[in-house]
Amino acid sequence: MPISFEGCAFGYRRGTRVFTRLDLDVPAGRTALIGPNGCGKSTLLGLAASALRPRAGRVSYQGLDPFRRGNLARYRALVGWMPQRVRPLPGLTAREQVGYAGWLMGMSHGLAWRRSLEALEAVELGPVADTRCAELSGGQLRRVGLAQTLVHDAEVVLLDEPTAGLDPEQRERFRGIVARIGERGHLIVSTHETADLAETYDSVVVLDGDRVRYAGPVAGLGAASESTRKV
Amino acid sequence: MPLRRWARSSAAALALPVLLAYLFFVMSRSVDALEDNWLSATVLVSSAAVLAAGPVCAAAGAWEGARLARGGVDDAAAVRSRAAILAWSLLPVLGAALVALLGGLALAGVAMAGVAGLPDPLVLAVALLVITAWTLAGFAAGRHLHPLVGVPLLLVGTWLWLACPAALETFWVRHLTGNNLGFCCETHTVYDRRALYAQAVVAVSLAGAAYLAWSRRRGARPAWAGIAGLPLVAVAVAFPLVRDMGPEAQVPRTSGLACGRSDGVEVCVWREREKRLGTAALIAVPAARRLAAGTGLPAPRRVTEGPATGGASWRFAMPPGAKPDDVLFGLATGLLPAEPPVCGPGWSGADAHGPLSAWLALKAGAGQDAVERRTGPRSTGAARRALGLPAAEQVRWFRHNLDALRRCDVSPSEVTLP
Repeated sequence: MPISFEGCAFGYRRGTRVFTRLDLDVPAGRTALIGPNGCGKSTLLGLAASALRPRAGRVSYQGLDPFRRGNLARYRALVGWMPQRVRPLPGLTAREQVGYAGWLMGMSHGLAWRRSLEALEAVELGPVADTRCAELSGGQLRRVGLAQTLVHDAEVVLLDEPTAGLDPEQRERFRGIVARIGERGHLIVSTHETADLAETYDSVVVLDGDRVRYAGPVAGLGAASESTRKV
Repeated sequence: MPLRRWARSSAAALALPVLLAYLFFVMSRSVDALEDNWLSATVLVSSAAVLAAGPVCAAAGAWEGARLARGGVDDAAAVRSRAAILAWSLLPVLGAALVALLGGLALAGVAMAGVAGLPDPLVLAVALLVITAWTLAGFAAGRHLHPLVGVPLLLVGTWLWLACPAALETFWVRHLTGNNLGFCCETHTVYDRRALYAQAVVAVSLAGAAYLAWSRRRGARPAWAGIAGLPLVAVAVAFPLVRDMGPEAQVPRTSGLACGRSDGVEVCVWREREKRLGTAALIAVPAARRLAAGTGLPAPRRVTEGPATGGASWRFAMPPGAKPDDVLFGLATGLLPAEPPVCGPGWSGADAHGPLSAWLALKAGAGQDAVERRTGPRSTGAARRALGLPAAEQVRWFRHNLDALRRCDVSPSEVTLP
C-alpha cells in the first residue's frame, strides 16, 4: 500500500513555501528521494512522519490520515523517522537512547529495553550498546538514529540523508544496512547520491522546487534526462 | 528503559544529595524547638521541603527540559503524549523531592518520638503540589533556555519567590508562595486553611501554565491566552482568600481536647497531653479555687487549654517541660485581658499589668521567686504590698486595676500600706 500525498501544501512559519500542491504516491519497497538542496526532501519526510502538519491536503498510509481525530498515535506507530541530524539525549548510552526512542513510539519500557539491543545489533552497534552516545563517532551516531527507527518495528522507515558527511567506508556499511531494512517494507531515503540508485533502490522520486519531476522505477529515470541532469 | 537506568542519567541524581543536605540544614535549625504536636512538625518539614526542593527541583526541571530539547524530543513524531513524556522525564526529580520530604518526616519523627498523632496529609500534599509546580515551571523554561542560564535562573528565582515574601509587609503575598506555614503552629493554634487553598490554587495555575508553555509544538501558535491567563485567574481566586490574613497563617485551635473531672471542675488539655491530665487537674483546680476566692470571681466550672468562653471557663497551658509555677502563672494571667484597649497617647493602664500578674500568680500559689523572675522586682513588690491589705481591699484593688487594663479612662492604683 503506498504512502499518499494528496494536494499537500506546506510552508514554514518564516514565509518560505515549500509545497503549494503536492500529489504523490510512494510505493512499497526502497525509494530514493532526490533533488537539489532546498527542494523539500526533508519537508516531505517530515510530512510523511507526521512531524509536520500540511496546511492543506493530506498524507495517508493504509488509509490513515494522521491528523484525523484519533489516528495520530496509530499512524506514528507504523512509521520510523530518522531526521537529518541525530540528537541523542545528553547522558544516555546508545542502548538507553534506543530504548527511550522505543518507549516514545509507544512500546512498554520493558519491551523497548529488550528490543533496543536487537535494534543496535541490526545496525552493527551491539558492542557499543553501553557506550554513551557522546563518545560515539558521527557514523555510529547515525546508526544509533537508524536503530531508533527500527526498534518499534516500523512498517515505514524514513531516512533523511543518512549517509551525508560519512566517510566512504562508513557509507558503504550504512548502505548495506539500509538495503537490508528495505526488504521489510517501505523505505524512503532522501539522498544526494545518485551513483548507485539502481543497486540500492527500487524506485525514485525526483523533487524540484515544489514539483515532482519524476516518480517511478529507477530504470525509468533515464528517460527523464532533463530531470536527471538537474539533479 | 528501566527507571533505574533513566534515573541514573537524570538531573535528580545530582539534585538529591544537594536537596537532602539543604533540607537537613534548614530543618536542623528548628527541629529542636518542636514541642508536642504533629502539626507543627508537619509544617516544619513541609516548609523546609518546599524551601529546599522548590528551587532545586525547578533547576533540575530546567536541566531536564533543556535535555529533551537538545535531544530533539520536542520535534520527534512520538506516539507518547506530551504529558507522558513530561511525567517520565520528571519522575526521578519528583521522586527525589518525595525522598527528601520523607527524610524530613523521618527526622521530625525522631524528634517527636512518643508524641501521639500523625503528620497532616493536606499540608504535605500542598507542599508536594508546590514543588511539582515549580519543577514543571523549570521544565518549561528549560525548553527555551540554555542550561547554563536556565538552571541558575530557576534555582535563584524560585528561592527568592519562596523565601523573600516572608519579609514583606504586604502579608497576602507571603500566603501565596507556598512557604508560609513556616511559623505555624503551636499546640493551641492550627493553620488557616485559606492559606493552603490559596497556595494550591497558585501552584495548580503555575503548573498548568508551565504545561501549556512546554507542550505546545514548536512553530505552533503559542497558547498565550492560557499561559498568561492562568496565573491571572489564580491570583483573582487566591487573593480574596488571603487578603485579610495577618502575617501568620494560623487561627486558634478549637478541637482536640481531652477532658476529665476533678472536684466538680472539668479539666481539659490538648489530646497530645492527655497523659498529663491528672497532673494538670492537681495543679489547676485548687489554684483556680484559690484565685476565685482571692479575686471575688465566681469559681470556674471548667479549666481548659482550649478556647475559654464566658466566665465559667478559665484558660491555662501545660506545654511539655512546664513546671507547676509556669502552669499557675498561665492560669492567673489568663484572667487579664488579652489585648489592650484602643486608647490614644498617654494611656497608663499598662502599668497595672505587671503588679496584677504578680498578685494573681501569688494568689494562685506560685512561688515568689518564680513570680519575680517573670514580672520583675517592682511588680512583685507592689503585689506583695497588695497582699498585705485586707481581703476586701485586695479585691477592690484588683478590680480597679483590671478596669485600668480594660478602659482608657481609669488609671492604675498605687498600693500604700497603712
